[in-house]
Amino acid sequence: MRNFIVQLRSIVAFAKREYIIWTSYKINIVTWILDVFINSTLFFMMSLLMGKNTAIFPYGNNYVSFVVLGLSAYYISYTNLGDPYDRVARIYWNGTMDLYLLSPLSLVTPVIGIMYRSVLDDYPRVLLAFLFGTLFFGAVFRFLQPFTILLIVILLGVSTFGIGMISASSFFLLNLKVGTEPVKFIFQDIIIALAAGYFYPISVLPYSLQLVSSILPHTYALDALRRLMIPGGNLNVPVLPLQKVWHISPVLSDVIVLACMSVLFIFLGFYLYAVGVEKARRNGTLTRWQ
Amino acid sequence: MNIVNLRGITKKFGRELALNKVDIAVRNGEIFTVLGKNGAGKTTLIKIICTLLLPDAGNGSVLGYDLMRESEKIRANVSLVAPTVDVGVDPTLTVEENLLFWAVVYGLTDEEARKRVKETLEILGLFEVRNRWAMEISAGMRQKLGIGRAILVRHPLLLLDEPTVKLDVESKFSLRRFIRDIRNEFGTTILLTTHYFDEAEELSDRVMILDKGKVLVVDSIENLKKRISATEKIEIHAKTDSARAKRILSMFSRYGAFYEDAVFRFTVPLFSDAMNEILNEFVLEGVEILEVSSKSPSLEETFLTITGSSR
Amino acid sequence: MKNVKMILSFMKLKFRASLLYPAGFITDIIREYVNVAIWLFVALFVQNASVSVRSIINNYVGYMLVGVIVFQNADKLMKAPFNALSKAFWEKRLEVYDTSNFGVFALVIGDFIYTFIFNGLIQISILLVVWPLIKAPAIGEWKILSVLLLYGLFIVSIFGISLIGASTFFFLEVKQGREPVSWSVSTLVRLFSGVYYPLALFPIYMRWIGKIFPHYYMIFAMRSITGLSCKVNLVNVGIILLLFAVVLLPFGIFIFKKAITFAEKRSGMSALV
Repeated sequence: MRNFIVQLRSIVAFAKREYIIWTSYKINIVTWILDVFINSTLFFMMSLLMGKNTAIFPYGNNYVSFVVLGLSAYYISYTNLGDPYDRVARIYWNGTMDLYLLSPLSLVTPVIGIMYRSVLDDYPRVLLAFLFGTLFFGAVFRFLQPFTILLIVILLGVSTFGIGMISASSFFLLNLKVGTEPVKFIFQDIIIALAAGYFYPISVLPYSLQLVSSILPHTYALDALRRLMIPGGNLNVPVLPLQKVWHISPVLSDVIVLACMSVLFIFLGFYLYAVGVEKARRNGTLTRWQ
Repeated sequence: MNIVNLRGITKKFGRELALNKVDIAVRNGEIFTVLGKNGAGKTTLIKIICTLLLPDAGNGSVLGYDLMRESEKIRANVSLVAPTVDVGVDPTLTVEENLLFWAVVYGLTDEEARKRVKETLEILGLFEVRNRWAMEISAGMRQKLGIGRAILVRHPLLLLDEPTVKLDVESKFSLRRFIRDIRNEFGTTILLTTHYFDEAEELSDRVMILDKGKVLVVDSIENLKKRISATEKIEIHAKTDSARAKRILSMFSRYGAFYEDAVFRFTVPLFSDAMNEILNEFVLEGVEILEVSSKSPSLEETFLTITGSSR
Repeated sequence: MKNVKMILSFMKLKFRASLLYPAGFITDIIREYVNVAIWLFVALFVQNASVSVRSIINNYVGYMLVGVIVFQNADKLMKAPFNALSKAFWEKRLEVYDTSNFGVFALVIGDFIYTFIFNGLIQISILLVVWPLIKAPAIGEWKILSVLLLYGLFIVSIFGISLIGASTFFFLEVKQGREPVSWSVSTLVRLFSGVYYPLALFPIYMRWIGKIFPHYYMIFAMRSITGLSCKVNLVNVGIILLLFAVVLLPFGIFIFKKAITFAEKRSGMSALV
């Protein structure tokens, strides 16, 4: 119990420190607010091009709402998936990896703690996307089954963090200390970017890509969130490959898949990271100091 | 009691043998220095002791914990200061905030943290600058801050890897005094690596000389120097012409004879038969002897002799 | 001649650096393809979902492709000099380059040309791969000479903008990340210059905003040449792009020279303190 409290207090200490660093980049704060506004504006303009009330079956007929949810998933994923590797790299290159290992902290606590800066950068953008969307661009939402919505958001966060830890494990497991990290690149920059359906329904994709999207937690999270939160969203008609095979409510199937992915990716991520650290201890590649 | 007790430690990186059956025993409360050239294996040894690196062979205990099976317990009770200044020092925090952050990371409660940080700042002599940004203070002060971080929780073993490298002369001296004070005040066992001979001479209770991954010798400074008293040098200041100097040099070349700026040097012990033979020859040659003195080997000469004899 | 050799040396340096990490080389190419693909899928979705789009733009996917390719290429080029300065600064090479009169200039020009060639080849390959799939007029029907001439003028004006952006490295002490000039230009171009949608969506009093950037004219001309929009007078477009080039290039060079002088006076070339 005491150890758990030490981990929690340390995460708070990291968070405070990262907050101080984050606030020192004042221009960045302005540009990130503007980024959200600009992205929302772009898709609002495209919704004008499409015309009002263009159906996006089975997700209602409000393209701006559709994209706001996509952007929200993007911001959460960008931090949770993309950040762990960068944070491990930062800890390694600034020489503090050894100091954290010689402390009561678990292997993962410093990574989570330092991610706080990105959490500050990206999570509030979710709220901003909703705010700009509803205030300026005509996005409309409903909140059917609010606890389910909350659960889906949490599971999306957890599952993407698990993939992020798998990515981070390559730093030691594959000794990838410079250049592009392959897990993050393949997942985030290729597969998720193309097939997660941030800005279009995955039915637009060739069938082969739709199958690929079946391995992404984003696919299920966005499907469920869009059905539940966009007025006119259909709760019954299956559209994803797995939903067509599995004859249960699409939203329920999404939640089940997300839960399984969360457990699997988190376990795999933590396990591979620990294995990577042990391997690095053997090889002498754990710390930068020679 | 030995705080560190390792036997047969071997570590290979690829084909390179970084440590070759190294035995090390560090007594409670001593300042133990590992001296060696770059690439001798000092850092590898320190990493193994704090279990950031696993040996390929060998075992032992650190702080009574088994090196291989209880590595987490060892890591929880050892403090480390790495050679680079500014490691663990956050430039966006003040001096005090830096220590408070680490106090929380090391598991101190808020009250304990505040008290311990205040004490540490006073010990470090950084209390006056506690509200300044860490990057505004000198490198020497930041290195002290790094050590201060390491002593926040008063672990029984403190590992210092080349702590004064990259510091100016004044900071080096100040830090060395500080290291001694830590041991004297808290009874902390300190294991230090360095390639500065004067540092080892000044600080150490015992020295281990490491060369190419092998332990050449472990002993106190005085004993080390005594071991090579056979290589003591005598110096004879004399007035002579170059022809006579040449004759003397060729006659005693077997004693490592050397002549420069009116000073002859011979590698022979003081008051030995060899010295008598040399002085007799000076008299016979009619060389005017101005002064005879002996030069004790420095630790550097000791080191060079010991590592030279291992080749 | 000496200056040309210097520029070529910097280009060679950048090429050799990219060979050191071939994975980075490959990931850059893949990222460009993926970025374009995302927008194409957006366009495909919008085109299929709405009858009104098809009535305004015959081939929205092709329309989007041209806009995105021109924008992406220009965006990469605009940031190249600043990124080159930043990298050299943090690797403590910049002050060494400044020991030569033309050193820093050669660095940014060399980086710009290298990026132009490398990124240009990628964008051309994307065009050649994707074009046949989008049922647009064949590339053989394009006026290639017009494309080259207009694009050349466009690149010159982009170079001018990139130098203005690079000057903020010294003037505003923006040492890494996003510099304000290229960020502002990119943002305004994305929103107002017809990259993703026609300007007709904006009220009349807002349509002038996009037209103050050379991107608008280049994208417009490219869409016309490729048969994706109504015909335009390419000579007029050429004159406008020439005007942009004639104004932006000398101004960019002037500002950048001033910035170098400014930095030299304040030891702004050195990362060491």
